[in-house]
Amino acid sequence: MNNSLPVFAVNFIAALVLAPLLPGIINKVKAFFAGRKGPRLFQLYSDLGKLLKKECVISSTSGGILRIAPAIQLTLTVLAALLLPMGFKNSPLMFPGDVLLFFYLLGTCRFFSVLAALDTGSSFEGMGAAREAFFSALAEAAVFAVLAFLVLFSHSWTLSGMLTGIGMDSWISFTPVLLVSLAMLLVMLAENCRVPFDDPETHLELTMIHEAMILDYSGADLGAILYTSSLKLWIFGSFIVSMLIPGNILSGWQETALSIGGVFASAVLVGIVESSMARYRFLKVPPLLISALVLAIVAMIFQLFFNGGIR
Amino acid sequence: MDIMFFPVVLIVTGGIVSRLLQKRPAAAMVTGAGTLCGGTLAAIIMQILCYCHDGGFAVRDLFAFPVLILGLAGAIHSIGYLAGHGSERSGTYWFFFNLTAAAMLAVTAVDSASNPLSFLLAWEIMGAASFALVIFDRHNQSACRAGWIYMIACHAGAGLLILLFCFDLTPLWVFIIALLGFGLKIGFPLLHIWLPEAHPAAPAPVSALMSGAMIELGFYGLLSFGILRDGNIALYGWVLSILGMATMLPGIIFALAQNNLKRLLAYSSIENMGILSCALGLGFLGMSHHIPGMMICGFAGAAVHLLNHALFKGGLFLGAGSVYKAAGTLDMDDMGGLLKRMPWTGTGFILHAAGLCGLPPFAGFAGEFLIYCAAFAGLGNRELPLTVISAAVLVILAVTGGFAAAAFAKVIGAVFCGEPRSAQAEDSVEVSPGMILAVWMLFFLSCALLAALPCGIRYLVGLMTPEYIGYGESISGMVAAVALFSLAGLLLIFAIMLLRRGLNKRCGERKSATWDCGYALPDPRMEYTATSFSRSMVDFFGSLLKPARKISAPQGIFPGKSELDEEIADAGMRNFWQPVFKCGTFLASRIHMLQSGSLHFYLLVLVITLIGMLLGAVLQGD
Repeated sequence: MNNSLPVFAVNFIAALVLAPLLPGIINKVKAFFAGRKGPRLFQLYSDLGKLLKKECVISSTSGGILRIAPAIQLTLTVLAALLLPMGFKNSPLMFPGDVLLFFYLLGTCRFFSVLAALDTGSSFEGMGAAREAFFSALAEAAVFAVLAFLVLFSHSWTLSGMLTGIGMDSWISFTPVLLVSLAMLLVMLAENCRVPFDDPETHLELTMIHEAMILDYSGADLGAILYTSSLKLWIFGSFIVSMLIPGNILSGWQETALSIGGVFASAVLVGIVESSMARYRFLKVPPLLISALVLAIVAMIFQLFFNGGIR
Repeated sequence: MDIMFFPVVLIVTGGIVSRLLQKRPAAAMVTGAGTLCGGTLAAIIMQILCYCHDGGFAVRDLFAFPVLILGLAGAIHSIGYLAGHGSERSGTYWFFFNLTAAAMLAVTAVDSASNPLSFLLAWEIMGAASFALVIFDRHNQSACRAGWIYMIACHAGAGLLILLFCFDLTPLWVFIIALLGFGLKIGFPLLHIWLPEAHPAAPAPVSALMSGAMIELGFYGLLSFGILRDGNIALYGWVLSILGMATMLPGIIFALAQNNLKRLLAYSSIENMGILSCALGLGFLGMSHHIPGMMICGFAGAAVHLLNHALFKGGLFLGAGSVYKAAGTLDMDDMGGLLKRMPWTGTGFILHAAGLCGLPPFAGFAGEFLIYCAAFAGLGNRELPLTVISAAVLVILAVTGGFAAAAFAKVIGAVFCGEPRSAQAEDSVEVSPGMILAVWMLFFLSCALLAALPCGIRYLVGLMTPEYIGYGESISGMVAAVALFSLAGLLLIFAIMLLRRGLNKRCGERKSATWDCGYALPDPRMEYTATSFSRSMVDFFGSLLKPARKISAPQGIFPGKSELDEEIADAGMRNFWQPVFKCGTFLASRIHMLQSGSLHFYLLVLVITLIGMLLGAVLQGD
C-alpha cells in the first residue's frame, strides 16, 4: 500500500491534464461515424489557451453570481475529483461518508450554474436553467439508489471502498453490477448534458440545456466552465470504470494505464451513443431518468434476494 | 428555580409595559425590543455559563436555543420592519411578540413531566399570542381568514393534548393522540393546512419565529409526552420515518409550485419537518434494533438539522420580510433584479438558501450528511424491512434535496436575478442596517455551528451514551472532515476569484447587454418568471398539484393584452378538509330540518319521544 499515494497523485494529475481530451475524443468518434474529418483531438486545449487571453464580457444585468459561479464550479469539481479513487487506488482524503460529500459538491456546482444562468435575465438561459434543475433533481434519485446498492454490495461508506471493493469475486455475481453501471451511464449522460438528454452540438438555443445556460460567458470564465465540464466527464467516466473493472489484479502502473484507457473508452462509448441516436424530446427525459432509478432498484433487489444479501 | 424564569419574567413585563405605552409608539418599541433583546441575550449567557460551570445537557436546551436566537434576531429585524408597516400599533405588536417568545421559552423551561398543567398553559398562551400576531394586519381579509384557520388548528391541537393529560391511556394511544395533537403544530400531512396560510399572513419576524422555532416545539412535545420509555420503540421509529417521507416530498413539491415567496417558504418548512421526523425515526429504529451507528447518526442528524433549520429558515423569512419591505409585494413574478438593488440582503438570502438546501460548504450539509449516514448504517444491517426503509429514505431524501435546490433556485432567480418586472421592484433600495444584521447574524451562527459540531457530537455522545463513545468519535471525525472540506472549498474559491481578478486585469473586463441570441434589447417581459421556471415541474406533478390555469392567449394579427393566472390550491385542503367540512355542513343542514320553527312539529317530536321512552320502559319491565 506504500506506493498507492504516488499512483493516486499521478492519476489525479493525469485527470486534470487529460480531461480536455475527452470532448475531443467524443467529437472524433462522432466525426468518424458521420464520415467527416472532425475537429482536432486537442481542439479544447487550443480553445482554452485562446480563451484565457480574451477579454471578459459580463452581462450588465448580472448581480455578481455570474462572476463567481465559474470559480465555485471549478473548485468544487476539483475537490470532488480528489475524493474519487484514481487508478484503482484509494483516495488519500477518503473518510466514511465521503460519497455523500462527493455528490453534494457536484450538486452545489449545479445549483450555482443554474443561479448564474438566471442572473443574466436571458430567456434562453432561464429555459436551460429550469430544465437543468428539473432533470438533475430526478437524476439525484437514480444516483442515490446506486449509492444504496453500493453500500449494500461493498459494506463500505467511503467512495474508494465502494468502487475498489468490487473485486474479482463480484464478477461471478455480475448482473447487479452491470445493471448499476447502466444506471450510472444514464446518469453520466444526463449530468454531462449529452445525447439523449441534451445535445451539446445544436446551435438552436431553444433546444439546449447546458449550452443554453452558458451563453453569457466569455473569456477566462468560459474557459473555466468548459474545462470544468470536461473534468466532470472524466469524473463520471472514472466512476463507472472503477465500478466495472475489478482492481488489484494488475500491478500499479498497469492499473493506471487501464484506468486512463477505461476513461477514454467511456468517452468513445459516449461518442457512439451520440452518433447512433437522436436527442429525446424533453417530455421523454423524465421517464428515462426514472428508468435509471428502476435499474438501480432492480439491481438492489437482485443483490438482496439472489446474492445472499439477506439472512 | 429554573434559570429561564427571570428572562421570561423580564420579557413578559417588557411586553406589558410596551402595551401600556401604546400612545407613544417609539417608547413602546424601545421597551418591547429592549426587554426582548436583553432577556434573550441574558438567557443565552446564563445558559453558556451554566454549561461552563457544571456541564450537562438536556434535550430541552436544543429546543430553547432556536427560540432565544430567533427571538433576538426577530426583535432586531422587527424594529426596521415595523417602520411604515404598523409602527403606530407597535405597543400591541411588542406585547404579543414578547408574550409569544416568553411562552415558547416557558414551554421548553417547565418541567413537563411533573407539571403538565403549566406546560399546557404555556402551550395555549403561545398559540393565542401568535394568533394575535398572525392577524396583526387586521384589515387584510386573507390575513383574518388565515388567522381563523390557525386558531382552529391551535385549539384542535390543544384539545387533543387535554385528552392526553386527562386520561390514563396505553402507550399506543398516548403516541397516536400526541402524534395528532403535536402533529398539528409540526405540520404532518393533512394536519399542515394552517402553515401555508398563517406564515404568509404574519409579519416576517413572526413567521421567522413561528417557522424556525415554534413548529419545532411540536417535536419537543412529541418527544416529551408521546414517546414513553416503556413504549414500543420500533413502532415509533417506523411511524416517524414513514410519516417523515410522506411529509417531505409532497411538501417540497408544493413549495416548488408556489409563487408567493412566504408561502413557498412555509411549504419548505413542512418539508424540513418531514426530514426531521425521518431522522428521528431512523434514530429510534437504530435504538430498537441495537445499531448504535444508526441511532447516534439519526439523533445527531435530527439535532443538527433542527438547529440548521431554525437558523436558515429564520434567516430566509427575515430576508423575505426585507424583500417585502423593499419591493412591496410577495408575488415573485413581480420582482426581479433585487440582488443589484439590495446586495447585502440578497447575498445573505442566497447563502441561507444554499444552506437550507443542504449544499456544502455550508452548515446545512452536515445535518443531511448525518441523516444519510444513519440510512447507510441501516442498510448495512441484514434485516430486510430495515434495509428497505433505509434505501427508501436515501432515495426520497435525495429527490427532496434535488427539488429543494430547484425551488430555491426559482426563488433566487425570480426575486434577486434578472431585471425587475414591476415599477416597485425597480425602485427598491437596501433596507436598514438592523434588518441586514439580523439576517447575517443567523448565517454567522450557522458557520459557528458547523465549526463546533465535531467537538459537540463527541461531547454529547460521551454524556448521553458513554458506552458508544467509540462511535461518537468516528462520527465526529466524519463531521470534522466535512467541515475541513468546507473550509478548504471556501478558501480555494476565494483564491480562484483572486486569480480571475488578476487575469482579467491583464485581459480586460467590460459590461454589456445580456446576449439574447443577437437580440440587442432584452426586456424584463421576456425573462423567465417564477411561474415559467417551475412550469415543466408543475406539469410533471400535475396529478398531485392540479394547477388551475386561467389563460387568455394573444389573438389576432395585433394581439392585445394576454394573461396567464395560475393557482395551486393545497391538496390537503382540497381533497380532504373541504369534503369533510362540506359533509359536515350537509349533515348539519339535514339536522336543521328538525328546527323548523313550527310549535306543532316540536310538540309532535316531543310526543314521539315520550311514546318511545314509554315503550322502552314497558319492554324493559317485561
